[in-house]
Amino acid sequence: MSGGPDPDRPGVELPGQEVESVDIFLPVAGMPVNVFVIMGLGGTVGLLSGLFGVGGGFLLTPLLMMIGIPPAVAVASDTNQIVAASVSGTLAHSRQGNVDFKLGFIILAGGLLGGSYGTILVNFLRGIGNFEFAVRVAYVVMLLGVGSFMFYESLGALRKKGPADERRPGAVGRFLERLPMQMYFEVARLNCSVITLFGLGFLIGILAALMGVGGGFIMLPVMIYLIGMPTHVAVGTSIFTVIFTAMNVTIAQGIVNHTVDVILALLLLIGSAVGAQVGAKIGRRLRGEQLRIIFSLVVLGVMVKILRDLLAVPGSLIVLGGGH
Amino acid sequence: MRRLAGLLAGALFWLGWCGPALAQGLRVELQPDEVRVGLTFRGQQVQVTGRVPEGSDLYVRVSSSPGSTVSLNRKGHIGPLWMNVEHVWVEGMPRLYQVFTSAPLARLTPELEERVGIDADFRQVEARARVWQREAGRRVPLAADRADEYKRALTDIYLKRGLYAVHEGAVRIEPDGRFAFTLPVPRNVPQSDLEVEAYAVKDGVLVDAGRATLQVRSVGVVGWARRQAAANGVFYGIVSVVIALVSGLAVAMTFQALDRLLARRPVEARGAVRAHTAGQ
Repeated sequence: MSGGPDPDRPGVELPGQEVESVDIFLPVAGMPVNVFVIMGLGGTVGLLSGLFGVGGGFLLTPLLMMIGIPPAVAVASDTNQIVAASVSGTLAHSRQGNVDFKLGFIILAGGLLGGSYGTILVNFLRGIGNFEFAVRVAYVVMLLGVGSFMFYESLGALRKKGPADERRPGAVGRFLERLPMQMYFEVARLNCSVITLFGLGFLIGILAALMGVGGGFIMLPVMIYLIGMPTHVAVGTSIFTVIFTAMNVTIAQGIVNHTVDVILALLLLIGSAVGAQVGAKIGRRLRGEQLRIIFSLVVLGVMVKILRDLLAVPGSLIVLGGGH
Repeated sequence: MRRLAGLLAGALFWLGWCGPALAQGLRVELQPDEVRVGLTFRGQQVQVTGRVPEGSDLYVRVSSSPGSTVSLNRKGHIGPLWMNVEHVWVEGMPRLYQVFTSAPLARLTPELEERVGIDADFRQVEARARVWQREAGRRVPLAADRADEYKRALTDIYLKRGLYAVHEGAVRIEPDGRFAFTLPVPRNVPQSDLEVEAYAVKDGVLVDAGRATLQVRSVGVVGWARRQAAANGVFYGIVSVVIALVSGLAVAMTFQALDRLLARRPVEARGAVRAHTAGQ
C-alpha cells in the first residue's frame, strides 16, 4: 500500500521531489492515485469474485477508503468495477459449463423485485431509529451462522469417502421439492419450483438492500444448501446474477449521487476482470468441498473484520460521511 | 428553482465572506493565473507577487468557495459496539484555506483578525460556517457548542489533508515593498476557483488590500468526466456500465484466446516431433 496516496499527507509536490510517474488524477474523487496500487486491489477482489461468485464490495470499499478515496466515490466506483469482474467471471465459468442462465434469470427477477421492496423497508426502519446498529448486528450473526455451518459441513464432507458434492436435502429442502411449478434445469441438473427460486431471489434482494451489499454472500449458501446446486454451478450462476444487480446500482449511483469515478472504476476493473479469470481457473482445480471450506473461511474473516470495526475504539469520533 | 435559490444564497454568502470595505489598491499577481487539472495533475506551484506600502506587513488568505456542504458522522457506542450515532451537515466552510504572512500572526489585533478573516487557528473560518441536521425531514441548526465541535473536527480533517495550513513568515518583502511567495496548490485542490486576498498592515492598522483569482480548471478526460457526472447522471451511469461490460468482455476474450494458444502449442510440438521422427 506504500505506493498509494495518503489522505493525511499534505497534497503538494515540492521542488526537487521525485515525481511518481504512475500516478493518475481521478476526476470525481478529485485526487491522484497510484495506478498499480488500484489495479492490484481490483485484481485481489476479482480473484475472490471468480472463485466464489461474490462481488467483493465488502472488501474493496474499505480498502479504497483507506487510501483516501472519499467514501461515496469508493462505494459507487466499486460497484461499477463489479460489472466488469462479473462479466469476465461469468464468461470464464460459462466456458466450463458452470452457469445455469435459466435458473439465474428467475432468481434475478425475484432479486430485483426484492431489492425494490427492501429499499422501502430500509426507509421504514430508518424512521424507527438505530437501524444501522440492528443491521450490523444481524449481519455479523448471519455471517457467523453461515460461515460456521459451511465450514463444519465442508470439513465433514472432505473427511467422508464417496462422490464429491453430493448432499442429502434437509427438511427445508424436502419441503421446497414439494412446491408446485417444478422445472428442470439442465446445467444445474436439478428439478426446482419456479416459486422457490423467485422467492429466494426476492429474499436475497431484500437482504441485499438492508445490508447495503450485493448479496453474493447470501446467494451462494442459499444455492448450495437450500436449492441443492453443485458448488461450481452455484458459483458460476451467482456471479452471473451479480452482473445485473451491479449494473442497476451503478446507474442509480450515477443518477442520484453523481459519485461514479469512471477512471477509478476503469483501473479497478482492468485488475478485477483479470483476477476473475484467474479465480475461475483456480476454482476449476478445486473440489466443491474445498471451494466451500475456503469460502466459509472468507465469510468468517469478513465477520471478524466487521465485528472488530464495531468493537474497536475509533481513531476519531467525528468522520466524513457518505460511505456504507 | 431550489438550486437557483441555493446558488444565489451561496453567491451572497461568498460576497459577504470576501473582503472588508477597504479601497483595494494592493496589486496581487499570480504566475500562472490558472491551474489546469488533467489526468497527470499532481499539484502545482504558483508564484504570488505584488507590492505593499513601505514598512507594511502582509497577510494573505487563499480560500476556495465556501459554497459546498459536507456531511459528517459522529461515532458513539451502543453497549460495547461503536456506531454512527449522529449525522450532520456543515456548510459555509471552504475546502481549502491557507494563510501566508510576512510577520507573526500574533501581531494582528482581535478586531483586525475578525475584519480580514485571518487567525492562527482557523476560528474566523469556523465562525462563518453553519451546522445543521435533519429532524422529521426539516433542517434544524445545531446548538453553538455542539456545532463548534463539528467545525473543529472538519478543520482537523482538512489540516491533515494539507488543505488548511498557516505559513507564517513565508512572504518575503523587499525594502522597496515588493513581495513574493510560493503558493503550493495541493494535488487534492477543490475544483473551484481560489480567491487570493492580501492585506497590508502597518502599525496595527489595515492600510491596503487587494485580491486576485486563481482559476482551477478541469481539462481533458478529467473535465469531461466531472461535467458528465454532475450534469448527465443517466448518460454517465450508462457509459460507465458500457465501459465495464466491454472491458470485462475484452479481458475474458483475451484469456480465451490465450487458453486456445496454450492448448494448441503442445499439440503442434508433438506433431513436429512426429514429423521429424518419420523423416529419419
